Amino acid sequence: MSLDRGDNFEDAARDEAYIQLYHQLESQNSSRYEELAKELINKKTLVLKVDNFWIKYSLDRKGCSSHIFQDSENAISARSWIRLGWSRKKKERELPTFFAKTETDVKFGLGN
Amino acid sequence: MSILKNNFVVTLFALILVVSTKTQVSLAAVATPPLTKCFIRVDNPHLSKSIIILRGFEAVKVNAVSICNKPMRNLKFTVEIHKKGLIRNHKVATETIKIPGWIATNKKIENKATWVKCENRKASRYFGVAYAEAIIDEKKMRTLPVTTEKTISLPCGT
Repeated sequence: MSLDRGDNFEDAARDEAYIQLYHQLESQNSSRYEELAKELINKKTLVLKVDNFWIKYSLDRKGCSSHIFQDSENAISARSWIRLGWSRKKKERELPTFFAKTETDVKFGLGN
Repeated sequence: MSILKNNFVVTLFALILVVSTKTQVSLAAVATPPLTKCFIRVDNPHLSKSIIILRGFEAVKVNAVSICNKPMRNLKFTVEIHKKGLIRNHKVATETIKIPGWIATNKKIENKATWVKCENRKASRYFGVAYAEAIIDEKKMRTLPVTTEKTISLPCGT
Protein backbone atom coordinates (compact mmCIF):
# COMPACT_ATOMS: atom_id res chain seq x y z
CA MET A 1 0.00 0.00 0.00
CA SER A 2 1.58 3.24 -1.04
CA LEU A 3 0.75 6.65 -2.29
CA ASP A 4 3.36 7.18 -4.97
CA ARG A 5 5.07 10.50 -4.70
CA GLY A 6 5.22 12.34 -7.96
CA ASP A 7 5.11 16.04 -8.66
CA ASN A 8 1.41 15.85 -9.13
CA PHE A 9 -1.24 13.26 -9.65
CA GLU A 10 -3.23 15.25 -12.13
CA ASP A 11 -5.13 12.88 -14.40
CA ALA A 12 -5.09 14.60 -17.81
CA ALA A 13 -7.62 12.27 -19.46
CA ARG A 14 -10.07 12.64 -16.58
CA ASP A 15 -9.66 16.41 -16.49
CA GLU A 16 -10.10 16.78 -20.25
CA ALA A 17 -13.35 14.82 -20.19
CA TYR A 18 -14.53 16.82 -17.17
CA ILE A 19 -13.73 20.19 -18.74
CA GLN A 20 -15.33 19.25 -22.05
CA LEU A 21 -18.54 18.45 -20.20
CA TYR A 22 -18.24 21.66 -18.17
CA HIS A 23 -17.76 23.68 -21.36
CA GLN A 24 -20.75 22.02 -23.01
CA LEU A 25 -23.02 22.72 -20.02
CA GLU A 26 -21.78 26.27 -19.63
CA SER A 27 -22.38 27.16 -23.28
CA GLN A 28 -25.75 25.43 -23.49
CA ASN A 29 -27.09 26.91 -20.26
CA SER A 30 -25.42 30.30 -19.98
CA SER A 31 -28.66 32.32 -19.93
CA ARG A 32 -30.32 29.83 -17.54
CA TYR A 33 -27.34 30.11 -15.17
CA GLU A 34 -27.53 33.92 -15.29
CA GLU A 35 -31.23 33.76 -14.39
CA LEU A 36 -30.52 31.28 -11.61
CA ALA A 37 -27.82 33.60 -10.25
CA LYS A 38 -30.29 36.47 -9.98
CA GLU A 39 -32.90 34.19 -8.39
CA LEU A 40 -30.42 32.83 -5.86
CA ILE A 41 -29.23 36.32 -4.91
CA ASN A 42 -32.83 37.32 -4.23
CA LYS A 43 -34.00 34.15 -2.48
CA LYS A 44 -30.70 33.10 -0.81
CA THR A 45 -31.54 29.40 -1.29
CA LEU A 46 -32.48 27.37 -4.32
CA VAL A 47 -33.23 23.70 -4.89
CA LEU A 48 -32.87 22.13 -8.33
CA LYS A 49 -33.16 18.62 -9.64
CA VAL A 50 -30.50 17.50 -12.09
CA ASP A 51 -30.78 13.92 -13.33
CA ASN A 52 -31.52 11.89 -10.18
CA PHE A 53 -29.82 14.32 -7.83
CA TRP A 54 -31.07 17.25 -5.80
CA ILE A 55 -28.83 20.29 -5.64
CA LYS A 56 -29.43 22.74 -2.82
CA TYR A 57 -27.67 26.09 -3.20
CA SER A 58 -27.33 28.49 -0.27
CA LEU A 59 -25.84 31.92 -0.38
CA ASP A 60 -24.00 33.32 2.62
CA ARG A 61 -22.21 36.62 3.16
CA LYS A 62 -18.94 35.55 1.61
CA GLY A 63 -19.82 32.75 -0.73
CA CYS A 64 -22.11 30.06 -2.00
CA SER A 65 -22.49 26.43 -0.97
CA SER A 66 -24.02 23.52 -2.77
CA HIS A 67 -25.23 20.20 -1.45
CA ILE A 68 -25.68 17.45 -4.01
CA PHE A 69 -27.70 14.51 -2.72
CA GLN A 70 -30.24 11.86 -3.62
CA ASP A 71 -33.45 10.79 -1.91
CA SER A 72 -31.75 7.73 -0.49
CA GLU A 73 -29.48 8.40 2.47
CA ASN A 74 -27.23 5.56 1.36
CA ALA A 75 -26.18 7.30 -1.82
CA ILE A 76 -22.99 9.24 -2.42
CA SER A 77 -23.31 12.99 -1.82
CA ALA A 78 -21.13 16.07 -2.03
CA ARG A 79 -20.90 19.52 -0.51
CA SER A 80 -18.94 22.41 -1.95
CA TRP A 81 -18.40 26.01 -1.09
CA ILE A 82 -16.69 28.83 -2.97
CA ARG A 83 -15.76 32.31 -1.91
CA LEU A 84 -17.53 34.98 -3.92
CA GLY A 85 -16.91 38.10 -1.93
CA TRP A 86 -19.41 40.58 -0.60
CA SER A 87 -20.58 42.45 -3.68
CA ARG A 88 -23.72 41.55 -5.59
CA LYS A 89 -21.97 42.24 -8.91
CA LYS A 90 -19.25 39.74 -8.17
CA LYS A 91 -21.80 37.15 -7.07
CA GLU A 92 -23.75 37.66 -10.31
CA ARG A 93 -20.56 37.27 -12.32
CA GLU A 94 -19.20 34.20 -10.53
CA LEU A 95 -22.34 32.19 -9.77
CA PRO A 96 -22.86 30.88 -13.34
CA THR A 97 -19.41 29.24 -13.15
CA PHE A 98 -20.42 27.60 -9.86
CA PHE A 99 -23.72 26.34 -11.31
CA ALA A 100 -21.87 24.89 -14.31
CA LYS A 101 -19.29 23.28 -12.03
CA THR A 102 -21.92 21.72 -9.76
CA GLU A 103 -23.96 20.33 -12.66
CA THR A 104 -20.76 18.98 -14.24
CA ASP A 105 -19.95 17.22 -10.94
CA VAL A 106 -23.40 15.60 -10.99
CA LYS A 107 -23.28 14.51 -14.62
CA PHE A 108 -19.64 13.44 -14.51
CA GLY A 109 -20.37 11.29 -11.48
CA LEU A 110 -19.63 12.22 -7.88
CA GLY A 111 -16.31 10.87 -6.76
CA ASN A 112 -14.96 10.53 -10.32
CA MET B 1 3.19 36.59 53.71
CA SER B 2 5.13 37.21 50.51
CA ILE B 3 7.54 34.33 51.29
CA LEU B 4 4.58 32.05 51.93
CA LYS B 5 3.04 33.09 48.62
CA ASN B 6 6.34 32.49 46.79
CA ASN B 7 6.70 29.07 48.40
CA PHE B 8 3.21 28.17 47.30
CA VAL B 9 3.98 29.18 43.71
CA VAL B 10 7.25 27.22 43.70
CA THR B 11 5.53 24.14 45.17
CA LEU B 12 2.71 24.37 42.67
CA PHE B 13 5.16 24.71 39.76
CA ALA B 14 7.18 21.72 41.03
CA LEU B 15 4.01 19.67 41.38
CA ILE B 16 2.92 20.49 37.82
CA LEU B 17 6.40 19.59 36.56
CA VAL B 18 6.36 16.23 38.37
CA VAL B 19 2.87 15.38 37.17
CA SER B 20 3.60 16.34 33.56
CA THR B 21 6.93 14.45 33.55
CA LYS B 22 5.25 11.39 35.03
CA THR B 23 2.50 11.59 32.41
CA GLN B 24 5.04 11.83 29.59
CA VAL B 25 7.03 8.89 30.93
CA SER B 26 3.91 6.75 31.35
CA LEU B 27 2.65 7.75 27.90
CA ALA B 28 5.98 6.78 26.37
CA ALA B 29 5.92 3.49 28.20
CA VAL B 30 2.50 2.47 26.88
CA ALA B 31 2.83 3.96 23.37
CA THR B 32 1.70 1.50 20.72
CA PRO B 33 1.97 1.79 16.96
CA PRO B 34 -1.20 2.98 15.20
CA LEU B 35 -3.72 0.23 14.54
CA THR B 36 -4.53 1.45 11.05
CA LYS B 37 -2.39 2.67 8.20
CA CYS B 38 -4.63 5.27 6.68
CA PHE B 39 -3.10 8.05 4.61
CA ILE B 40 -4.15 11.21 2.90
CA ARG B 41 -1.98 12.68 0.20
CA VAL B 42 -2.73 16.20 -0.90
CA ASP B 43 -1.01 17.67 -3.93
CA ASN B 44 0.34 21.17 -4.18
CA PRO B 45 -1.98 23.80 -5.67
CA HIS B 46 -1.48 24.16 -9.41
CA LEU B 47 -3.08 25.74 -12.44
CA SER B 48 -5.11 23.09 -14.21
CA LYS B 49 -3.56 22.48 -17.64
CA SER B 50 -6.75 20.98 -19.06
CA ILE B 51 -8.84 23.97 -18.07
CA ILE B 52 -6.40 26.42 -19.66
CA ILE B 53 -6.13 24.42 -22.90
CA LEU B 54 -9.74 23.43 -23.33
CA ARG B 55 -11.61 26.27 -21.77
CA GLY B 56 -9.29 29.25 -22.09
CA PHE B 57 -9.49 30.41 -18.48
CA GLU B 58 -7.24 29.60 -15.60
CA ALA B 59 -8.18 27.81 -12.41
CA VAL B 60 -6.30 26.82 -9.31
CA LYS B 61 -6.80 23.18 -8.38
CA VAL B 62 -5.90 20.88 -5.48
CA ASN B 63 -6.15 17.08 -5.73
CA ALA B 64 -6.13 14.65 -2.85
CA VAL B 65 -6.18 10.89 -2.38
CA SER B 66 -7.10 8.81 0.65
CA ILE B 67 -6.20 5.18 1.24
CA CYS B 68 -6.67 2.91 4.27
CA ASN B 69 -5.55 -0.63 5.13
CA LYS B 70 -8.88 -1.37 6.80
CA PRO B 71 -12.38 -1.40 5.37
CA MET B 72 -14.32 1.70 6.29
CA ARG B 73 -17.76 3.21 5.86
CA ASN B 74 -19.37 6.64 6.08
CA LEU B 75 -16.31 8.33 4.66
CA LYS B 76 -16.32 12.12 4.51
CA PHE B 77 -13.33 13.37 2.57
CA THR B 78 -12.74 17.12 2.40
CA VAL B 79 -10.31 19.22 0.36
CA GLU B 80 -9.92 22.96 0.87
CA ILE B 81 -8.03 25.63 -1.07
CA HIS B 82 -6.68 28.54 0.97
CA LYS B 83 -5.13 31.79 -0.18
CA LYS B 84 -2.45 33.50 1.88
CA GLY B 85 -3.47 36.96 2.93
CA LEU B 86 -1.58 39.92 4.34
CA ILE B 87 -3.16 39.64 7.76
CA ARG B 88 -4.90 36.29 7.61
CA ASN B 89 -5.52 33.49 5.14
CA HIS B 90 -8.77 33.10 3.23
CA LYS B 91 -10.51 29.89 2.35
CA VAL B 92 -11.52 30.14 -1.30
CA ALA B 93 -13.05 26.74 -2.01
CA THR B 94 -13.98 23.52 -0.27
CA GLU B 95 -15.26 20.20 -1.53
CA THR B 96 -16.50 17.32 0.63
CA ILE B 97 -17.44 13.98 -0.76
CA LYS B 98 -19.51 11.63 1.41
CA ILE B 99 -19.55 7.91 0.67
CA PRO B 100 -21.93 6.11 3.05
CA GLY B 101 -21.29 2.54 1.89
CA TRP B 102 -18.41 0.21 2.64
CA ILE B 103 -15.05 1.00 1.08
CA ALA B 104 -12.76 -1.97 0.55
CA THR B 105 -9.31 -2.24 2.10
CA ASN B 106 -6.63 -0.26 0.25
CA LYS B 107 -9.10 1.26 -2.23
CA LYS B 108 -7.93 4.68 -3.38
CA ILE B 109 -10.53 7.39 -2.92
CA GLU B 110 -9.84 10.51 -4.91
CA ASN B 111 -11.13 14.02 -4.46
CA LYS B 112 -10.25 15.83 -7.67
CA ALA B 113 -13.18 18.21 -7.94
CA THR B 114 -11.73 21.09 -5.92
CA TRP B 115 -10.92 24.04 -8.15
CA VAL B 116 -11.67 27.71 -8.37
CA LYS B 117 -11.63 29.99 -11.40
CA CYS B 118 -9.00 32.75 -11.49
CA GLU B 119 -10.40 36.25 -11.87
CA ASN B 120 -7.15 37.80 -13.03
CA ARG B 121 -3.44 37.06 -13.25
CA LYS B 122 -2.48 38.72 -9.98
CA ALA B 123 0.13 36.61 -8.17
CA SER B 124 -1.33 34.96 -5.09
CA ARG B 125 -0.04 32.27 -2.76
CA TYR B 126 -2.13 29.13 -2.27
CA PHE B 127 -2.05 26.00 -0.16
CA GLY B 128 -4.39 23.06 0.21
CA VAL B 129 -5.73 21.22 3.23
CA ALA B 130 -7.36 17.78 3.29
CA TYR B 131 -8.94 15.75 6.06
CA ALA B 132 -11.28 12.82 6.42
CA GLU B 133 -13.50 11.02 8.86
CA ALA B 134 -14.88 7.52 8.63
CA ILE B 135 -16.12 4.60 10.67
CA ILE B 136 -13.37 2.01 11.00
CA ASP B 137 -13.84 -1.05 13.23
CA GLU B 138 -17.15 0.50 14.36
CA LYS B 139 -15.32 3.53 15.71
CA LYS B 140 -15.54 7.03 14.29
CA MET B 141 -12.03 7.99 13.24
CA ARG B 142 -10.89 11.42 12.16
CA THR B 143 -7.61 12.39 10.52
CA LEU B 144 -5.71 15.52 11.38
CA PRO B 145 -5.83 18.11 8.60
CA VAL B 146 -3.05 17.47 6.09
CA THR B 147 -1.57 20.58 4.52
CA THR B 148 0.15 20.64 1.14
CA GLU B 149 3.91 20.37 1.20
CA LYS B 150 4.34 23.84 -0.27
CA THR B 151 2.56 27.15 -0.46
CA ILE B 152 2.66 27.97 -4.15
CA SER B 153 2.62 31.37 -5.77
CA LEU B 154 0.40 31.29 -8.85
CA PRO B 155 -0.62 33.99 -11.35
CA CYS B 156 -4.21 33.63 -10.24
CA GLY B 157 -6.19 36.24 -8.38
CA THR B 158 -9.42 35.02 -6.77
